[in-house]
Order: sequence, then structure tokens, then C-alpha cells
Amino acid sequence: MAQTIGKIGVLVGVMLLCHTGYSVSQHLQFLRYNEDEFTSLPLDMVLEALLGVALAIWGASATKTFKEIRAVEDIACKSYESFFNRPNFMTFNHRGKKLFGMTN
Amino acid sequence: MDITKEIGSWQEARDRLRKWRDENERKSEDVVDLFISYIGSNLSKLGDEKWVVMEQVAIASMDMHNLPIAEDLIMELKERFPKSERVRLLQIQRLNLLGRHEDAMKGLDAMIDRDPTNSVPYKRKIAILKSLGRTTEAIKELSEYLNRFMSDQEAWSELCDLYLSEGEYNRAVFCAEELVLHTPHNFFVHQRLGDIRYTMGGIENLKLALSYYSQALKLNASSMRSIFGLFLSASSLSTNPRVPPADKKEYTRVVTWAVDQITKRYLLSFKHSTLFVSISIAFCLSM
Repeated sequence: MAQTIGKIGVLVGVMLLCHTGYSVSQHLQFLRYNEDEFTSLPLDMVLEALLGVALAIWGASATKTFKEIRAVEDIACKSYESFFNRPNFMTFNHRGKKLFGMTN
Repeated sequence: MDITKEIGSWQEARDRLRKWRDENERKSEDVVDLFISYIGSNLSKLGDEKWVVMEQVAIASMDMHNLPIAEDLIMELKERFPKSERVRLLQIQRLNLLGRHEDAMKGLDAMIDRDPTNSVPYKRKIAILKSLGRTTEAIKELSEYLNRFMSDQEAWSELCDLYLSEGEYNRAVFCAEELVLHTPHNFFVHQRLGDIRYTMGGIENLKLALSYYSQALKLNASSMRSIFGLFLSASSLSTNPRVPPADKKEYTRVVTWAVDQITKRYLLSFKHSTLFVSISIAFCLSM
């Protein structure tokens, strides 16, 4: 449930930002036609942009659990075995042949 | 056999296989058991993940020397991906299993001719040389490979092991140091360097071993090997006649700290079991 809400949040946030971009470009065009100076953006566009960013950030943090920022924490849980396992160098001439082998 | 008691459904089995794929675990017996019990009959339900799982199970069953499963899976993969280099590698591994090493080498040479930038056939050739016991050749090939593919951590780790098996500790240290350069936050690499330095012996090496073990402990405080390594190197240094007395005091302090830590941790892991045992004994006695 949290996943879908988060994804919707991100989508809406990004759409708001796109809409803001479009409306800002329209606004600048309008100012150019009227030969007005560009002083500042209208307040509602600024608020829309900020809302879009906030919504997208909130949505992204709601969709997943993040990994630990310090790589150390991630590695501390790994086992000795998995660190020294090199699959590309794996050989098959171990005792497994006699212990488990179905070939004669 | 134990894994089938833990896992109840094919979905759990699929998740466990995925976890082992991501974490690079070589649990061949468990993979084959899960395949036989759960995945084999439910392969079609896996979707696109099916092919990766088949590759994983094929390699695991070859590791268990279970040829029928391996050959079935490889044949299916070959039908689906007839021109794939990965499937060709599986076939070559099968040749290795059957003992046809010359054919396997020829196959790998052909793969290298087709694509000299693919690093895997080189590594498999070195693995074959290693399995045949031709360690010096393997070392030579691996050094040449590392001249070209310098950032391949797996290969540096392998070269370190090969040098250790030959007793060439200085060169093994060089390889292990390369790994430290790649991933300094990984406590394993420091621990391994500590192990090698401790094995080499002598005051300088023991001091270095002490510092490596300390760094490993700093990165991962729960590593028992590092604590034992710290204890051993500190105690060797504290009983060494050529060490000045001021340093000896320092090392003895490290030894007592290490012993304290070790006993604490063992007591912690036994505490719950002794509690359970004492309660159950008290219960039985009261009956």
C-alpha cells in the first residue's frame, strides 16, 4: 500500500514540476510580448515547484527501504564463505565427486 | 536436506535462490535440493527469471557432480539461447566435469578468438590449470591476465590464494594489498592481510598484523577471527625477547583486552542456552 502511494506521489510531484516549467516558459513569453522586465516569478508558480519537489521526495522515500549509507554495515553481515567465493574460478575436482556423485 | 525443512513453498525457494545469487554464495547442495523439491516442477511460473535460475542450478548440480540435472538444464538453455557465450561456458564446465580438459581448453581458446575482450574465458582457463595442479602455469597466466584487466578483484584474490599455496608470502601480500586499495571499507581484506602477515612471522610483520587486525575490528566489531588474530599477534610480540620492555607492556595490555573480549562474547552466545538448560533441569527436578 505504501509502495503505490509513494509511486503516485513521485508521479504527481514530477508532473507538477513539468507543469511549472511549462507555465514559467509561457509566463516569460507573455512578458516578452508585453516588453515587461522580468522581475520575479509569480508566487503560485514558485509554490507549485516547491510542492512538486516535496511530493516527489516524500514519494521516493515512501516506496523503498534504503540501504545503509555506510558500506561497512552492509559488509559486516556477510559471511566468510561468501567473501572468498570466486564463481569464475570454481573447479569441480573436489571431494564432492565421491561424497555426492551420481556419476561413476 | 535441512533446507527443505526451512522452506515451505516455491516462492520462498525462488526468493532464497535470488538471495544467494545476489550475495554470491556457493550453496550448491541447498540449491540442488530446493530445485528438486520446489523449483523443478514450477519452472514455468518463474517467468523471465527462469533462465537465470536454470543457470544457477546447472552450475550447482555440476558442483554436486549430479550430471543428469546439469545436462537437462544445459540442453534447455542451449535450445533457447543457441548462440549465447554464457551457455557455451556452461557446456565447457560440463566438459571439465567429465574430465575432458583438453576439449575444454580448445573451446575456451575458440571463445577467446571470437571475443578477446571477454574476461571470463581467460579466468576459466586459469581455473582449469589450477584444477590440473599446474599452479606455476596458472600463476603466470593470471599475472598476464591482471596486466590487462587490472581492476578485477576476483582475479587478485585468486592470485593471492595461488601464491599462498606456493608459499610465496611476499607476493601474496602484494595481491592482498591491491584488494585493500580497491575496497578499504571491507574488513575481510584487512583481516586477510593480518593473517598473511602473522603467518610470515618476525617482529615487523607481527606489528603490521596487529595494525591490520585492529583496523578489521574497527570496521566490524563482531569479527571473532580478528579478535583471535589480535590476541595471537599481541601475545607473540609480548613474549618475544627482542621487543623492548615498554612495548611489551603495551602488548600485554592488548592481550588482556582481547582475552576479555573473547570470553565476553562466548559467554553472551552461551548465556541463553545455559539459561534454557538450567530452567529445564529445574523443571524436570520439580516433577
